[in-house]
Amino acid sequence: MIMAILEFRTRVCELYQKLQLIIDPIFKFLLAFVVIRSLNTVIGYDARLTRPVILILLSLISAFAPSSVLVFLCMGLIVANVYSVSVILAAFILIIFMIMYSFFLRFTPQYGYVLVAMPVLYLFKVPYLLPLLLGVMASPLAILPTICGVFLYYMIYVIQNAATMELGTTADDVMLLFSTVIDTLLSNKEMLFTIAVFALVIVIVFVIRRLQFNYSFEISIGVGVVASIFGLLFRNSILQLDYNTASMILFTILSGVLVVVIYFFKRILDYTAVEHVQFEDDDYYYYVRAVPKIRVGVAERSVKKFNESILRKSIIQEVEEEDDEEELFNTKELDRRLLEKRTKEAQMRERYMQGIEDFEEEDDNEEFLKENEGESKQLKK
Amino acid sequence: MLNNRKIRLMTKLALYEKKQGKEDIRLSKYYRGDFVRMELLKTLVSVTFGSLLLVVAAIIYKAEYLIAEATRLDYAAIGKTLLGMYIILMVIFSILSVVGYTVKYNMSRKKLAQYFRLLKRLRKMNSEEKPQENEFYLMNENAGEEDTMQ
Repeated sequence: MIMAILEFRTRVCELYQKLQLIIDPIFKFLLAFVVIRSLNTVIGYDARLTRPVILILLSLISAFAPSSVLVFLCMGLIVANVYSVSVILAAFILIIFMIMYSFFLRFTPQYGYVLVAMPVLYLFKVPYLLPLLLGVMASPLAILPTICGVFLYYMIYVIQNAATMELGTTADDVMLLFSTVIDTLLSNKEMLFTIAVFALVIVIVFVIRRLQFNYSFEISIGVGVVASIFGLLFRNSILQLDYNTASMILFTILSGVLVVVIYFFKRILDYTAVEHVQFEDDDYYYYVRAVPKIRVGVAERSVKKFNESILRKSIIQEVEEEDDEEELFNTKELDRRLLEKRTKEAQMRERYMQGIEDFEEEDDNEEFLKENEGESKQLKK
Repeated sequence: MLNNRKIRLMTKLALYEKKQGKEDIRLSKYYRGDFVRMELLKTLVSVTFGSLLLVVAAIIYKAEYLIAEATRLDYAAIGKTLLGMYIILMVIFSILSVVGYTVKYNMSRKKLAQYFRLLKRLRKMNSEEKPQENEFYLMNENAGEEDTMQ
């Protein structure tokens, strides 16, 4: 089983290294296509903007641009679409975007994509994926864009309602529109609860992942899934929302699995990407293609604790296995074995450290020789 | 003749400069105090801007009430509340950004230390290849080090 996974991993790495130049833009193109397409289905008010040509053009742009461009395009698209329905509403959305940026988003430009991803994942019924993923891969700072993302999702729905109101541009209408939108947003307790739950999940997953014990990564995702489910159940019961509980639980678990898969691929692909760099010195220009070596082997972290109580327990287990019940309660025997085990471990550790030192010394010697060479040359001069 | 060790070193340096190093090297142009103060200033400006937008939105939201009660409103009290809220916001964001950007700067410094060590090694290699320029390089190196240490 493990061997099969490793083989699969190696093959994925090799394939990716070969086709990297094609795969990267295609993936980004598809991502942008899905995002813009789903935005169009939800608030595609302007027929000119929802034409396939525009869709493909925008996707192409974001395929070759950094991810922040896609976020910017989406924001512009939302404003432009709403503009065709109501100028006032568009101005309002613009103000909200600017407030979001000046208070939250400018601190975390690297997580800008979260803002767009949240509403889209809501459409695919797996918004639970994002907090889990951010807890695993990012820092708690990612809470800021998550807040904005959830807010944006609920705002899009309010916009949908407001857009059907068909109001004019007289002062009364403007104020009515404004107060309706703000009232519905501020009185939306579901949104606030969701933000709180997602923020909590991010923090929980982050903290558990950073703790030092075996399988902390897997456990953090498991706990995150459970926390997310219970948090949302709590929200539904307090606010008496009648969402389908079974599908929520199912999709949250699915999100957990997806996070594991995404993380698996991300970790592979991050360290297998071929890099091209250029530099020069006095004599040459260098065009270097750096291909990372693919290693077959599992990089697993295991934490060993040299703790009195654990040692004692393991010795007791050993004694139990030896079926020597009398000795189990004999503390002197226990201490003797403890001492024996400690000495053995200390010896092993010493030998290990010796090995490392030898290795380092070799390296240093080489450096030292090189350095001295330079100096002696200097002296000769 | 091609020097393989040197190429390996230069590749490592170029990779760092191309990816994470970009930001670190940008930060290395500032002293810590300057960098944190500059970012703090940016934060304060953006928070002020955001607060103004919030106030505008609030005025439009409450426009009906404001116009109806325009003569009877206690403007001093409203002003004081708004100012108080603004100051609280400013203080919170200032503290957070000072702490955050200081941590960011320190972390980039740590990564840069390794980069400078490799650069130093590269300089040494260069000076071995071309001993005439040795003195000049070493002088430069020492001057540069003092700058970065501060």
